[in-house]
Amino acid sequence: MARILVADDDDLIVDLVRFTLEAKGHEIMVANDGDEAIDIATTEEPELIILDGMMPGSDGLQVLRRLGQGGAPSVPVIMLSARKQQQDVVGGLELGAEDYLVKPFMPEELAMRVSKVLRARA
Amino acid sequence: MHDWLQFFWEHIVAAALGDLGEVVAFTVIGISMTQNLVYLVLLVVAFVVMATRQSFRQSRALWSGLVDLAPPITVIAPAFDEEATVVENVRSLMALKYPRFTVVLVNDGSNDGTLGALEAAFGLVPADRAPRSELEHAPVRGVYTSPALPNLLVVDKENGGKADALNAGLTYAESDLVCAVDVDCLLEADALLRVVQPFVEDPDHVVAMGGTVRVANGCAVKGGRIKRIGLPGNLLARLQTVEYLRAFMMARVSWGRIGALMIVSGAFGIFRRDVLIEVGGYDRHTVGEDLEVVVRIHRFMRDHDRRYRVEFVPDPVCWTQVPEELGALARQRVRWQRGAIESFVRHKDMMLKRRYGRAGMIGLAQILFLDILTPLVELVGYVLLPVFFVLGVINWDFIIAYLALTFAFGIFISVGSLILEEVELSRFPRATDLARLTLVAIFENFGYRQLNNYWRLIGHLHHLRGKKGWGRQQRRAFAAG
Amino acid sequence: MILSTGLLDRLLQAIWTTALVLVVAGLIVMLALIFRRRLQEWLESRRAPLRNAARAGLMSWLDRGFIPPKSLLATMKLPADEFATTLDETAQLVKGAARERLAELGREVGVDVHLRRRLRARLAATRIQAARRLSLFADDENRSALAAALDDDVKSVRLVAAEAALRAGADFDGVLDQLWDDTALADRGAARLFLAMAQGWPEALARRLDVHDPAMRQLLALQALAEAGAVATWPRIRAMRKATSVALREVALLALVRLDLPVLPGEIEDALGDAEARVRRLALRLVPRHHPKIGRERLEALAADEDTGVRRAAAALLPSGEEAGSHTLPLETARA
Repeated sequence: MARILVADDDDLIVDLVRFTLEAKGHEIMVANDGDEAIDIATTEEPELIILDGMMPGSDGLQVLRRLGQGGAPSVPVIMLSARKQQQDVVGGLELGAEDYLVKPFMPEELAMRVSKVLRARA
Repeated sequence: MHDWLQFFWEHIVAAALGDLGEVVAFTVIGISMTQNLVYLVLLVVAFVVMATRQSFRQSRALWSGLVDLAPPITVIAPAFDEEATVVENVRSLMALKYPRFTVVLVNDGSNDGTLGALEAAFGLVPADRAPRSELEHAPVRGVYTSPALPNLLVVDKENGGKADALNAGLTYAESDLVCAVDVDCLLEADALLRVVQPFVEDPDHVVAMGGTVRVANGCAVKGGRIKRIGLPGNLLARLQTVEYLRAFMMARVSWGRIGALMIVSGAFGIFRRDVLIEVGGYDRHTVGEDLEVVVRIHRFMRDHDRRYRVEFVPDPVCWTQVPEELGALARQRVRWQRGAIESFVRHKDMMLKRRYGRAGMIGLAQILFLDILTPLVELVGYVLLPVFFVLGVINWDFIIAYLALTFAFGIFISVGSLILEEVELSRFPRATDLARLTLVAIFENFGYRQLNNYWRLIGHLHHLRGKKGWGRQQRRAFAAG
Repeated sequence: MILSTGLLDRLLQAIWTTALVLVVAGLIVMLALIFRRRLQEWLESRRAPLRNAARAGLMSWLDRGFIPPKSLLATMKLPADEFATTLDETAQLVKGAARERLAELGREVGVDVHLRRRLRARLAATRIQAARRLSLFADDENRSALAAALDDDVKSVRLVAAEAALRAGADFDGVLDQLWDDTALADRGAARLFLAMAQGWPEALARRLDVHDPAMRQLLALQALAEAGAVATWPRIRAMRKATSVALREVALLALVRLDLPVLPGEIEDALGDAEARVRRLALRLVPRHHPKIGRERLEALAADEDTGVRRAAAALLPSGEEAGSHTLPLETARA
């Protein structure tokens, strides 16, 4: 199964995502802010990143941009976005995010999209 | 002949001097007592406000409660010679938790590479934006946006000072609400959401909103946010921690409720854009533009018979790095005092006029009494009362009463603010922090308080001599960790 | 000498004794608070593992419908309100079947019973929080508890209870009939409730629009339908353009702007002929952006309006000479 980085400053969401995905056998790493997300993404080389739209340090879009360095990031990214942040979603997809989920979301749906993205990359 | 002279000296001159001394002594103690009664009232009002407020304590509830109702905001951040920190500061502003907002960074003619740093980090391109007001400000050299960050606007202009830069930012703001911030302050992620609440509840009348500013020294900072609240190790900074608590938790909370809040901190305040523009924007010729503009808003709204409210939100939203060296602190305080006096002098005709309602009857009178008069009277007391005592004009009871008023009451007010913080907010994470702050609250009354009064006196003298400008300013970069 | 009189001496004594009493009292309270905090730190150090275990149990329940016994034990040991908070926060992050599973877990460990008890608490803030949280539990028992809270003494409790009842699946008209004449619907505090109604039940809310009702609730309903983008209800919103209340006519026009409908230019044209100058002025402000194809004669007619504001606004819009047809928006008039 895959090594997945969850970047979100809300520990409840991190737990939720972690449990959902660990149950499917994935290995989870956690970053609590944007800068940490970039650190871990570059040093640990996760196979997938789940990225919150709003975080301290650098927000989700800035992280995407810095990961991609102009082009689409080499790691697939799924954006998690809050209501009313639709422009983030559009921006995220433009910057090369593979998929997005809007909070509140269904945990099953998250698991499904994760396996879909991973399958597409395999 | 000799006898006559002696008689004259003993019975006329000495008695007259004694009576005069008595009058002075009683004036001093009377003013000191009034001051303490005012503080007592403020403390009680603050307790009532804090106990009855309905606020979202948790950030998550705040978001879901307001996300659909919160109006767009433009955050205006003036920057001058901030090459080293500006990129990180903009990043942290862009990561605020708020549904719809734009950041307008105004480069106020920096001499260093502030603009270059922004260009390198965000790939600025010229933006097609027309000015939307006719406020006066130094010429704008260019307006830029970032293809990567569509809600960032950089206004590059010639140097004109902070007020001038804010006006330039206002000129390019588009939303109905604007938020003026100090770019080197650390904001809580949900600062905008918290402070915008009064506007959401009463959009027709709320014109300005302030929030609590706290001391960032000693806090652990990461990614432009406070990670963990802590106490500064430096004694001066620790004294200011208590001082800020008292000023915001006690004074501004209750002045806000009373309707006589005359200042919204320049470090963080939200305003109705149309009102700021109508009153003519920030004043470019005062050192206390954040105080002056609020006084002017009061004046304008009353002059035009409009119903309005200036509101204060007690939640801490903004953390500022306070000076840790005596010289820097002295310069800051002298400048604040000059700002207060300038604003007061300019608007003194509002005082005690029915037309200006509570802003005039209480707000301006309060500035005169608490900010200008009492610090001087207290200094006079320190010098004269011992002399009077030696001369036998006043007795022990008087000295003890005066000392109790000054010191015991002072301690009570400081500790009271601390109690208020702990009962209603409990933001300090550890019991030991509280214990240390209690000690600071006691000992600040011996030395620090007198020093502050002395700086106010100097500010007064500077004002009389008509000194202009901001004074030298030193800013410390935030230590990560 | 005044000083020698006993009265003054007593006054001075009173001053310093009061000050001393206050300072001693303040310090005692502060010491008590420091002690309380110390106690909380100790409690917290014992509670943290419980909380983590409870949360793990919650997640596992969400994922597999099963709680490890150790987690269940931890959940039971936690103060009821603390688990209610975690449950509520999680419920806000998920939707669909996961939400129902959370409600099931809540019932299992008695969170709904706890919340129903809190719904009768003395502090209004507690009741509000309980009502909001009860919206997770869509069953008759909790719906009737929320219905009872519609009679609460405090306005904001009634409003939150109504929203929660609706979310918990109560009958829309049933709730609104009970609340319709409530003073709570007459101020801005109700904006959130109206928005929730406009988002979840736009048709039912739009059916309550009434041209003859001048009350604030009509205004809030219109604004909410616009904010929620309830395009399908536009015929009823348009009908409100003929409301008897001037404020309502204005808000109805703004609502149509918000929904950005093709009928908008016609409605603006119509509002330019409104009997009330305020409405005509508003319509004029909307012209540049939303009805740029307006006829020149129409503007010229308005430039001779009886109201000075209308005259001035219309004159400002009249294109000067050859530039006809390319209106630009004058500064600061876009604030609609």
